[in-house]
This record gives sequence, structure tokens and C-alpha cells, in this order.
Amino acid sequence: MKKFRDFYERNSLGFLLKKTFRIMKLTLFIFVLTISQLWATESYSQFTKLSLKLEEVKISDVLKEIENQSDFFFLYSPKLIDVDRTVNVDVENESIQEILSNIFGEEVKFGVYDRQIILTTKDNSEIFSSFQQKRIIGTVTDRNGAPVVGANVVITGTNQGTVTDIAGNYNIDVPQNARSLTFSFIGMESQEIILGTSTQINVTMVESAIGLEEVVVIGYGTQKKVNLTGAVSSLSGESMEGQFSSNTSTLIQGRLSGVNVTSTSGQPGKPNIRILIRGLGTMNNTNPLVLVDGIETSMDEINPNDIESISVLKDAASASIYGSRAGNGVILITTKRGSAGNIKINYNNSIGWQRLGLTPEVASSADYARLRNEANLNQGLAPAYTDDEIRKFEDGSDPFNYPNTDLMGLLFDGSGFTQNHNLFLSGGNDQARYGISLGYFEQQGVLKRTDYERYNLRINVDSKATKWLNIKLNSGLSQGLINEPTAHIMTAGPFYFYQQALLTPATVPVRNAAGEYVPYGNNNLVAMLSEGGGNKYKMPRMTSSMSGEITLLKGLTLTGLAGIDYSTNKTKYHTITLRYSNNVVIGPNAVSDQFSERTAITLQSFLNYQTIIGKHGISGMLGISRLSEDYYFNAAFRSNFPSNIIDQIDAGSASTATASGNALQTRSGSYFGRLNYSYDNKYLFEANARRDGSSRFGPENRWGLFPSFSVGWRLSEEAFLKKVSWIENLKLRASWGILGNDRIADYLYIPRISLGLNQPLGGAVANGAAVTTASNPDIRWEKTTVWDIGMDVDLFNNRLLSLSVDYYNRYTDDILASVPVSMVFGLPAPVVNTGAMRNTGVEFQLESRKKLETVEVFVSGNIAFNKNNVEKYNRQGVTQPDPGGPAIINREGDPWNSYYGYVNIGKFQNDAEAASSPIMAGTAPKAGDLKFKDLNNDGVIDPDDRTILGNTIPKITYGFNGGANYKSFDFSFSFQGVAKVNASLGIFGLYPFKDDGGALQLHLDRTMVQNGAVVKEGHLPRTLPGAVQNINGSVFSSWSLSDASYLRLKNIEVGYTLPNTLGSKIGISRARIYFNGQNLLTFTDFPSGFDPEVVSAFGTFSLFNAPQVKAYTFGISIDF
Amino acid sequence: MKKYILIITIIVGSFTACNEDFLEILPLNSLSDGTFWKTQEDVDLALVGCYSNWEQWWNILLFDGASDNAYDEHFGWKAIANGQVNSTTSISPVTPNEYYYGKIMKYNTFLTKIENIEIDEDIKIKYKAEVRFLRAYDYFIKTMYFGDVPLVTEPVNYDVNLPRTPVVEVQQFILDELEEISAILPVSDNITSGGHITAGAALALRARLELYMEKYADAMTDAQRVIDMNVYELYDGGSPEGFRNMFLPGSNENKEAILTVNYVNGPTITGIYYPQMCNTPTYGGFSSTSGTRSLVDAFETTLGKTIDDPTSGYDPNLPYNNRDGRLAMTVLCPGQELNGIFFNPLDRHQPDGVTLNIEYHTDGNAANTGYALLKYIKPVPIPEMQQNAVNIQVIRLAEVYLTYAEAAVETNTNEDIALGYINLLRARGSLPPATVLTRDLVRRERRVELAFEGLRYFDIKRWDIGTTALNGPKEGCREGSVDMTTGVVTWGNTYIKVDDMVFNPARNYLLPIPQSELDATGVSQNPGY
Repeated sequence: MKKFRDFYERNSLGFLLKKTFRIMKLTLFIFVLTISQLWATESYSQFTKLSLKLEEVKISDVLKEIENQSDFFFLYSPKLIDVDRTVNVDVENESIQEILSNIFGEEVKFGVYDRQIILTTKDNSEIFSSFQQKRIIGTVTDRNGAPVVGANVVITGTNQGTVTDIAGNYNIDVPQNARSLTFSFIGMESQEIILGTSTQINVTMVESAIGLEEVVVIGYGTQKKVNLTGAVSSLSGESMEGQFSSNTSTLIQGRLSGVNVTSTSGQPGKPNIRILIRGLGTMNNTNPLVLVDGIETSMDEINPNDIESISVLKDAASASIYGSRAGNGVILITTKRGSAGNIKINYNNSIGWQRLGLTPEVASSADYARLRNEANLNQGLAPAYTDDEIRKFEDGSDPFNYPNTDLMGLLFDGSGFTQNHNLFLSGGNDQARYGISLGYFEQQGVLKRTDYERYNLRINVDSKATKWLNIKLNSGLSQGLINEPTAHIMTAGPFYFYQQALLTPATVPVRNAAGEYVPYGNNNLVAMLSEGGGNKYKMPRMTSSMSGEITLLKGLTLTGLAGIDYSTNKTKYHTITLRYSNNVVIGPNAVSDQFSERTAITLQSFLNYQTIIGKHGISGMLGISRLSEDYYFNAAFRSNFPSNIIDQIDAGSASTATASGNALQTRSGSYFGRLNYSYDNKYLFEANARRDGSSRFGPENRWGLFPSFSVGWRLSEEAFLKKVSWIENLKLRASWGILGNDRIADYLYIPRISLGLNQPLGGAVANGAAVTTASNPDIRWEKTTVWDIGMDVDLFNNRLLSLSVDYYNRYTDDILASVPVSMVFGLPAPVVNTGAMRNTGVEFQLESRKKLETVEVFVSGNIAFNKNNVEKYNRQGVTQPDPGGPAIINREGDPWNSYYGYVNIGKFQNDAEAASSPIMAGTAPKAGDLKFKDLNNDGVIDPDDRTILGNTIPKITYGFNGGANYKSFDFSFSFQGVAKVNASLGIFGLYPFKDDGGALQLHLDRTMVQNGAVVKEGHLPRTLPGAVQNINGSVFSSWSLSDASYLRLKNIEVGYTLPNTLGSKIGISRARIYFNGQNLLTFTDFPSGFDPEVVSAFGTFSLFNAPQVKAYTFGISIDF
Repeated sequence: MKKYILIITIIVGSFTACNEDFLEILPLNSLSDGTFWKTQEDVDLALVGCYSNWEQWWNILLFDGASDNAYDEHFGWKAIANGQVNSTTSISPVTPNEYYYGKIMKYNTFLTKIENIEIDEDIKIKYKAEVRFLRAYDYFIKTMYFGDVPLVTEPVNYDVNLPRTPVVEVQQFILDELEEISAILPVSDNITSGGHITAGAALALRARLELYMEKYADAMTDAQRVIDMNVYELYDGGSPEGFRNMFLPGSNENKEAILTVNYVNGPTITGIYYPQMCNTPTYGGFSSTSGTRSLVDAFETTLGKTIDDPTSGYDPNLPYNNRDGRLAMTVLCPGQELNGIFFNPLDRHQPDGVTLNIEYHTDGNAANTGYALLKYIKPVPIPEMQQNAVNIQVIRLAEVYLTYAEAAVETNTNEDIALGYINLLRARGSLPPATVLTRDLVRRERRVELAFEGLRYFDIKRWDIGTTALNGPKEGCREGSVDMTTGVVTWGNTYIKVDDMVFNPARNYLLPIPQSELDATGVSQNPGY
């Protein structure tokens, strides 16, 4: 009684009177929630009868005696109530009301609320009206009708409230004068419901667009979005629901500012992804670090349906907790977990078809023949085809010898069928919850006999084993299966078909009159596709972890985690023996079985502490972790199998057997810590440090320290802005930090002797060894220093507008790369710490959501500008894999990997002009050939006339999404684009007849020449036979480069949610059907038919990757 | 209690996490430099490592594509022949690799490391001599291609940036080295030596370089030293069939060979795919290189006269009849029978007039000049074409004879001896003996004997005949029609033209230093590029 009495003495406000105050910590969300619960049994005062016999005692003693005898307790101020007066009490089995009336008479008013009794003077008796309580009950559900567990129900304007139970139910007693209840939940839109006469209030909560309460996953924990001081982009799994994709990476394309995702292949299962976060930050491996539920792994085999959220840590402050590996940014994925309650089931599927996306067209056989003749004429050679032959190509009168073969049509008529099925089960109780997801994905290629299947199983279990121990299990199992056809060349997969389908002239027949396949070169694409053989990949993966969280003290927890990422890749390459016309037999059939295995084991432990002392919020984390990766590979080969249909290795000829193998090991160990401090939720400070050791460096250079600091200021919490009602949130952020990178090959600091340099000597093969790699004992950590200044603003109520702006300056020094070395060195360039580059940029992310009567509209957009500059590089290197193909330069003062070549200034209009202009030594250009600019005016075109021609990395990346919900209908779209980037079609795409190849439709747009003068200028220079080297085809110039900017409608979706009445009868709580279209529209100036996304990826200049597909899918999602 | 056990487990686990031993990882599939270089076994491994890929067949067999002997369709050699080569030209798979010092680095490392290894001194000296030969050979190739090249004889650091050493200094280094090691290496034929370098190889290479340097007397001396070793003899006693068989698998007991690149089929080594590259499409090949009119016309008639001689007996309508027997063993001519099929690169269609003829010379895989290759080539099943186990001869006795003969005719000494050597070679072509040693005769013999053995471009260079040999159209045979049942050819008047060659004398027959090297080091470029 005393404490409450004393409390009452200090605080006369009645609403503070509560029997219990409990502070509940929701560790999952790491924010503190104050709730109060009222344990009300209204009848207590009615059935409790008291008997007292006291003489000449103070009223205070009477009250004490009542408290001793019963559960009642009194709340009053001794200043107001005279309790020192002596009274006599003698009652038998009387109610408390009767007793108190006897004692106090009219002077003192009292109110009995369950077990509490409040005493006051009659002048203050209006206070009781606030204690007149009524009980409100109800259920809180989400948009899908699923209960929301742990939602806060608070009497608006007070700290009084409760939380919903596992069924989403709540009950709360509210004072009569309370006006409304506020319902809130992480990631949901808070709602204020005005209290009426009804005692039942059911609430449906909707996800908040930006949500000030939103929690973002960060390294080794979570953080409220408003309290973030680093640059983090995040995305909820739900926003990707329904989209067709075999790979999670492509789902985030265009949705996160500063994150550039490129997929350079449309082949099922092999999307060939590149992710660049804030531009190209290093000269070596630029892939970001990917962690799924805290375990380093790959994004490839994750079932997109399992994803709860994706966070991208972009600046040093947020990423440096992963110090060593965070230089290229970090992608954190969390998967869906179970929620307590009865079993809930979601099933969704989609079924669809794909069509070939942007693809160039091959010239018809007649066009090819005419162009070929023109080329021969230009070269002074006899025509290759007579007019009669061209006529036959045209009229199809002799389809076996003079066909017009449509290889694209013959090869690319796979069904393109896709299906995707997902089942998610969740349930549990207070002690344990489970979430189980099963997924099946199938994608048939547009190219026949290419397909991909993936099976996923994920089991997530959360268990509160004891009061002080939480156990978590994350277990992801997947298996990917890829099938693809192959050519006679072992390992030549589908790319060979894409390439040859475009390079083979339409004049080449598939079969002769006798029905035999006619070889072109060694090959016949249709035969190779139809007759068997192929490559098979089987890729099971397990990513599992178990962790225990022990509460040591209040606010202090110790977590231990052990995880494994285990994957294997079993590959079978199978080529067959094929018989062609003319008795040509290509073979022999052969099989190569390859097996690789990667085991990565993570062990981590960390201490977490957090507390709030008045206005000071303090939290800290200290941890230690180690990671060991082991890679193993072996391969076996045999040929001469008795039949093409046998592909098991032991059936091959033993005399042809060969085997090979390899193994690698990598180890890293880390200590890390974080300190967060906030004052009054206004001023935020965070410091991180990580010390990393890597087995890739020698003992002297092994360890690196990676600190970071960041500050935030929530201006909107300041008094002067709090009044401004339309500013909901305004925060300024700044951060600085250092990140590391050790993503180079293993063992580079150790001088090594390679084995296997064998040579026949003395009639037998002798074993040899030599130094074939250059080592560098001095290699050390590459370090990236990042500045980031950002601002987050939420304006107007209901999240009408929120904006995030970031400026960053990312400076990478001591870059680990192979510098160009003199060929006199005689070994491949060693990896050294060389050079530095800087990426500066600005990112904007804008979101807006407006809910009208029946329509809800939302739009969001992001755009990022990035500038790359090489700041230090003591050598310049020009790389040109194919003569005439793209050349790139790396040198100080220019962006890394800039296109480099000659400047084209049109075509020579006549031979005289060609003869009198500066030309390249050894060439004799004629009318219709490309003319190059003599940049240094020295009268000749030589390598000194080369200059920077364009970018391999887009300077601008952007995306915008939007949609609307109207009654039961929903609609959404998402666009993605890049700008200020160039790409080249490469020699095969730029010119016809290369390596006896065919011609594309676009090659017909050529410059025509007669009698030494141009008669018609086209896009291409004059055509020459491929066998003849010519200035046009051997020089990389601005003519060879195109603007590869594009804007693509990545995704468009229309959905309809079935009325509840329909489904509830058969146990369906929600059902939605939808249509989804992918890659339906592309806007680009890129040369006709070529997919700018496929070619713009740096590193692969190949034009012949599988093009992106257009996909049309229908799906349904049902909750039971 | 349970709680404390768990806590202790986690804490103890943490502190074993990151000790230094955990991070100390050594390679699993290669030896470490620190522990290698110790024993005889190590040196044996390293010696074989030096021999590994010391020369590649394509450098020898395809290099005539850069000359007037051949037309190379696929690999870019023609850019040398037609004058279009520039600093970024890639002649796959050769240049710019020939400028690359990978082999030199390997040899220099071996020669440095072997010094500190305690093994038998005689073995050490012999091993060193073998590797010194390989190094000299590589410098010889480099000087021929590029002229001045940096001369390095010790391993260098990755930041090396050396100027080019004048070619005469490099050549003198090669000559000195070869002289020294020829006294160390055994006198032995190539079979007995098992492919290890012999004294004969050192002197034969020395003679070749001296000839190229126009040190004729020295060349003659060294050629004579090789011949006088009496361990080399013409293959199969110098018989005409020997000229064909010497270049085919099964000829490995070849005492004519002085220096060879050896190929076998085994688990870690496979034979060469040259047969597939140069067989005709009928046999599953690609006809990458084909012969030229200029080469075919160089073969004499059986009367021992050139075809432009009215008394030679040459019949333009039967151009391949009554010719030097080596012609039909070097190239496959239209109408010539092979495996019972008459070679027909001239008709667009098969005899039915409808079905296309895959041998037609404009076809992708057909011999573009109408002359397919036969040296080192015969139709075999495809697996064998792709893995042909045959030794490629880099230097053989016939070349040493021709070196001697050329030195003799240039110095007017020992001409009788030279004629004797020449006539041994002519006998294999069933030609009558020559009676007068002339420069034309020696050069013609050298061309036809050594065609497609990779020496023609260097001969054009040192004879300075580029303005005639490498200028104007590159032609094949005449257009015409082959009777597929008799092999009789009906000839037209026009010659198949495959390329236009433009010779630029300013370039002095040197190849350009690769642009990447210029970009990386700023080293000087050869004239004319």
C-alpha cells in the first residue's frame, strides 16, 4: 500500500493509478513497449464481506486492517483526507461500501474499482468519472484476415494499453472519458478508432508504406528505421509477391536506389546476375556480400516466396560490422518465420508462358546471297551466287539446296511453360513457433530442351525453451536442376545455339533431300538439339543455422550461433556421335562427370546489451566469429561409348579415361562491436568496429581494422518542428567508415610451383613443374572509405510523401588487382595493392501513398547518379579481347573500364577522299569505309588517336513503381532503367560474314559503293567478305559503340481478391487471383533487336547470351 | 546450471575462434617455392617443366600462312602476308604471345635456382645446357619476329620496364650460348636422346641463325659440323615415299630429325589437331590453310626444269602431271585422287547438278585456294584427327643441307659438296640431279622442300623479296570443273583470288610490338606501325 500511496502523493493524476506496471520487451523487434494490464474482476467488491472490531484507532489503521484482511488497497492523499482522526469500527460481514460510508460520512467520497479504492474529497469527486471503466473486446487481423499477434492496443494519449494474444484477441478496460483507442504494430499502419457505444472493436490492419515504426534488419540485429544513421535500403518480401522470376536478384531490380542489378541471360536457371551497389567500387570482385538469416550464402537458390525482408547496407556505417567483406555492400535477407496460433496455411501458385524477348533477325537467304555478292564485288572477287541461285532462294523452288532456313524459328520453339507452387504453414504456441515453406518452380526454356527446376524446403523454428533461453533454427534446403542442349564441343551449352543461330547464313540447309542432316562446319544445330546429349547440372544446397539466445541480465543477452552453407554441383557434360550427310561422322560421344563441393561453416557469438536510462538510450554489441570455407572439385572423362543414349562414365572406353581435381581452403576470423547511443530519440550516435583476419594474406598483413561512426539528428522531434503538423519525420544522417575487401584468389602471397607441366620425353610423358603464377608476399587489405550524408523526410499524415536522399563519397584505396605488366615479366600479372578509385553519387528514393474512400494509390521511385573515377593507377592498360571488338582502358582520371578507341567521322565518300585522308598504316581504305579522326593532327591514324568513347557502367540507374487498390481489385507496375551507358554489339553483331558467318537483318543497312564513290550511305560501312581483313572490322571506334540506355516495364500485375463470403464457407480466409506480365515493354535506342541489358554487362562482350524473355503468368494465392 | 554450461560453451567456443593457426592455410594442389628446389627429383620436375610447351606445332605448321606459300583463312596469319597487321592484330593463337617472356622467365628461374641445389655437377651442367638451348631458341624466334627485344637472363620483377636490346647483341648472345652448350650436350640422334636437346640441335640452330645473319662461312662450318656428326640421315634412306611418311604418325624412328616437338596421346598430354584443321571437309576437316598458285608453280617438272621453261614439258591443261614428286606429297591438287575420291574444289554442285559440293572453294570449310594440304595430313577418323600423335620437326637434316648449299652459293665455295646435298633432296622428288649450283636453284629447293614447315616468311625477309612475293593478288588454282569419275579437270582461264597483298617495305619485315605492351611500358614500336 505504501508505494502506491507515496506515488499518489507525488502524482495527483488518477490515470497513473494502476495495480501493475509491466515493461515488456519484445526482443524480436528490439524496442521497448510500455503496456499496462488491468486484471479486473468486477465482482470482488460485491462478494467480499468484512468483519472489523476496532476501538479508538486512527482511520489510517482501519484502512491498513482492511488491506490486511482483503485484497483491497487504498489510494489517497493524506493532504486531502484526514486519516489521523480516531474512530470506532464494529461491523460484521459488511460490504466495503457500507464500512467506508460509516467511517467517512459525506466528507469523503470514495470509488471502488475492483480491488482499488480511491479516496478523495467531495470537491474532487469528478476524478471518479475517469475511473468509470468499460471493457472493450475485439480482434486485430491483417489484410489477409490472419490474426495480428502482439499488436499494441493503447488508450489514445495514455500509456495504458494491452497487446493482442495469439488469436489476435484483446480486451481492455477504458475509462468512460477515453475518446479513442490506437492500434499499432510493426510495419503496419497505426489506426485510431473512436470509441462509440459498441464494446466490440475489430480492426483490420494494413501494412504501412514507410512506417515510422518500421524495423529494418541490420548487421547482427534490427533497428527502427527512424533511428537508422546509416544508408540502408530495404524491401519487404510481400512487395515481390506474385512476380515471375527464377531468381531473387531480378526481383529487386529497379526497386532499391543505388542498387543496379543486371541479368545478362534469359536461360532458365542461369540468369547470369551482376549486382553493383553504388557503382563499381573495386577492380576485382564487385559482388556484394549476401547473408540469409545471418549466414553467408548465395542469392541464387533462395525461394523468393520465403523472403520476409531484404536490406541492402550501402554505406560504411551500416556495413562495417561486416568489415572485411562489406566493401561492395551487403545484402541481408531474412526469411519468413512462424507465428503462434492455430495452423495457418497459405498456398500460392502461378502458371505462365514465356516468349523470346528482344532478338535480332537473321537476313533471308536471298538477302544474304545478294549482300555476299556485293561484298565480293567490293573486294574485286567473283560473285558467290548467280542470279538464278538467288531466284531459287527467293522462290523456294529447291528448298533442299536453296533454302531460306529460319534457324531461330526451328530452335526457339520451346514451350516456355513455367509453373510455381508454394505452400507456407505456420503455427505454434507461446513456447514454440514454426514456419514451414515448400516450393516448386519449373521453367521451360524458349530454346528447346533448356529447362530449370527448383525444389525448396525451409523450416524455421523459434522456441522459448526456458525463461532465459530462446532457440532458433533456420533450415533451408534447395535443389536446382538445369538441363541444356550441347554442341559437339564439350561444355558448349546453349550460348552456342544462340550464337550459331544468328551466325549461320539462312542459305544453309538443315536436311538434304534424303533426309540426312547437312553439316555446316562440324555442326548442325537442329541435329544437335534433336538428337540428344546435353549438359545437366544438379545443385543441392543446404543453408542452416541454429542459435541460442541467453538472457544473462535484464537487457543483456548472449547469443551463440553455428551455421553451415553446404552446396554441391554435379555436372554431366554429354556429347554424342552424330552422322551427317556425305558420311561425315562427328564424334566420338563422350561424357565428363564433374563434381564440386563447397562447405562454409560459420561460428558466431555475440553479446547484446540495451537499456534506457531516462532520455538516454544505450545499446551495445560485442561479437566474435569465424568462417571456414572449403572447396573441392573433381572431374572424370571418358569417350567412345557404345551408344549415344548411354551416359554413365564406366560405359566409356577405359583407354580414354582422364581425371582431374582441385581443392581450395579459405579461413577468416573476426572480432566486432557496436555502440549505439540516443538522447531523447533526437540525437543518435553509432560506432562500429571490426577486426578481421584473412587466410588470403601473409601473417604480417593478415589483420585489418574497420571502424565506422555515424550520427543522426531527428529534427522533427525538436520542439520547433513538433508543432509543424505536416512534418511527421525529418532526420539528418551522416556517416564515415572504412570497409575492407579480401576477395581475391587464395594463396596469392605464397610462391607456388605448379604441377602438371608435362612433356613427352624419351618416348613417355614425363612430369614437369614450374612457376606459372606470380606471388606477392606483400598483399594486404583493400580499404574503402565511405562518407555518406543523408536525409529522411516523411511529410503529411498517412505517409502521403516520404523522401530519402543520400550523397556518398566512396574511396577505395590499395585496390587488389592485377596491374598491366610488361610482357617481359613473363608471368601473369600478380595481384598487388594498386591504385585507387572514387565513386561519388546521389540517390533519391521517393514514396507516396494516398488512401481515398475506396481507392488506394501508391507510387514510388528511385534514381541514383554515380560517377566513377580512377584516382591512382600507375599504369594504363587497354584490354581488347577480340580485334575490332570492344576495347576498354583503365587509367587515372577516367572511369574504370571506359571504352577506348578511335573517333569515327562518317564514311569516305569516294576513293580520292580515302587516299588523301590520314589513314592507318597498313590499310588502304576505299569509298564507303569508316573514316577516323586524326585527333593529334599528325597526318596518320595510329594508336595515339584513340580516346575515351563511353562507359561500361551506367551513370544513372532508376526505377519507379506504382499501383492502386480499388475495392477488391489491385494493380501494380514496375519500371526499371539505366542511362548514360554504352555497349557494343561486338564484331559478330556489327558486321556480316565474320568467320564465314551469316548476316543479320540490320546488316542490310549498309553503305553501297559504285565506281569508287558512295551511292547510298547506310549505317554500316561498305560490305566486305568476312575472309578479308579490313579496316572497318579490325578497328574499335565510336561507330562500334551504341547508347545502351533503356527503360523497361519489368513487371505489371492485376489482381482480384475474392469476396470473403465466398470462401469462408469452405475455410478459405482469403483468396486472390492475379495476372502478371514481365519484360513486356522496352524503350531503347539500342540497335534493333538487341537486348541492351544482355549486352551492357561488363566483362561479357558476348552478344549471344540468351535474351531476356517476356513472361505472362496467372496465379492464385489462398489463405486457409 | 544448464544456463552456465551453455554460457561457458559459447564463451570457450568464441575464444578458440580466431587464433593464428586457424588462418594459416597452405595450398593443397601445388608445391611451395620455399620447399621445392632441393633435390634431384625437384630438378627433374623443373627440367620437364621447362620443356613443356617450349615450342608449339602451330608456330611451325601454320606460319607459312604469313607468306606466299599459303593462305590462312581462320587464324589471322594472312594479316602478315597482306600487310594489314598492326599492333592490335591478334594472330590466334600465336602473336602477341611470341613477344611474351613466359618461357624465358621459366628458363631463367630454372637456371638461377639450380645453382644452389646440391646434385651431381655433370648433371647440373647438362641440364643447364638444355635449358640454355631452349632460351636461345626462344630469343632466336623473338629476334626474327620483332628485331630488338629486351635481353634478360635472370628472373625479373613484375614492375620490370626494360628498353629493347639491339638485335645484334641478342643474336651474339644466342650464338655464344649455342657454341658453349654444343660442347656440353651429347652428340646423338633425336631418337636416342629421347627428345632431349643434343649438340646437333645446338649447332643446327646456330647454322640457321648464321645463315639468316648472312654469316655464310660460319653457317657452312656449323652445318658441316652437324653433318659430320654422322648421326643424322635422310628418312627411309632418302626414298621418295620417305618424304610423305616422314610427316605422318609412325615415323617417330626418324633420324633425319634434329630438333622436334614431340606429341603423344596420354592422360595429361594429347596430340595435335592439325589434321582436322587442314583436312578437307569430306574428311571432316576445316581446310584452314591452303596452298597457293605461287608455291605450286615453284615445283619443277620431272625434267628438272621450271614450268616457265618451254622445254620443261609442262602442260597447262595437265598442270600436275610430270612434276616434282614432292608436289603431290605436299598439296592436294584438283583432280588428284585421295582415298579413292577425286578432289574437287572447283564445282559448286555434285555431279547431279543439284546437290551442293562441300569442297567448293568458297565454302567455309573448303580449301579456299583449291589446293588442300597433305604434309602432315592424311584422312583419318575424326578422333585421330583431333589427337594426332606425331613429332613435328623443327630442324631436320634436309634444312642443314640447304643451309650448307646456300652458304656455298653465296660464298662460291664447296659448290660440289653442296650440289651433292641438293641432289640427295631432289632424288626424293624423283628429279634428275642438278649440275650447276645457282642461287635460284638453292632458293627453289629450299622453298619446295621446306614448304609448310614455317621457314618461308623468314626466307622472304632475309632475301628481301617482299615486294614481289608479298605484293599483289594471292591466288590459288584456276577455276574449272572436275570430272568426279575420272579426275580429269577442264580448266578455265581465271585464277581463284583469295586475298590482296600490299607490301610495305618501311616495316622491314618486322612484326609490331603488341599494343598492350606499348600501353603498359611505353617501349618503342617497330618502324611503320
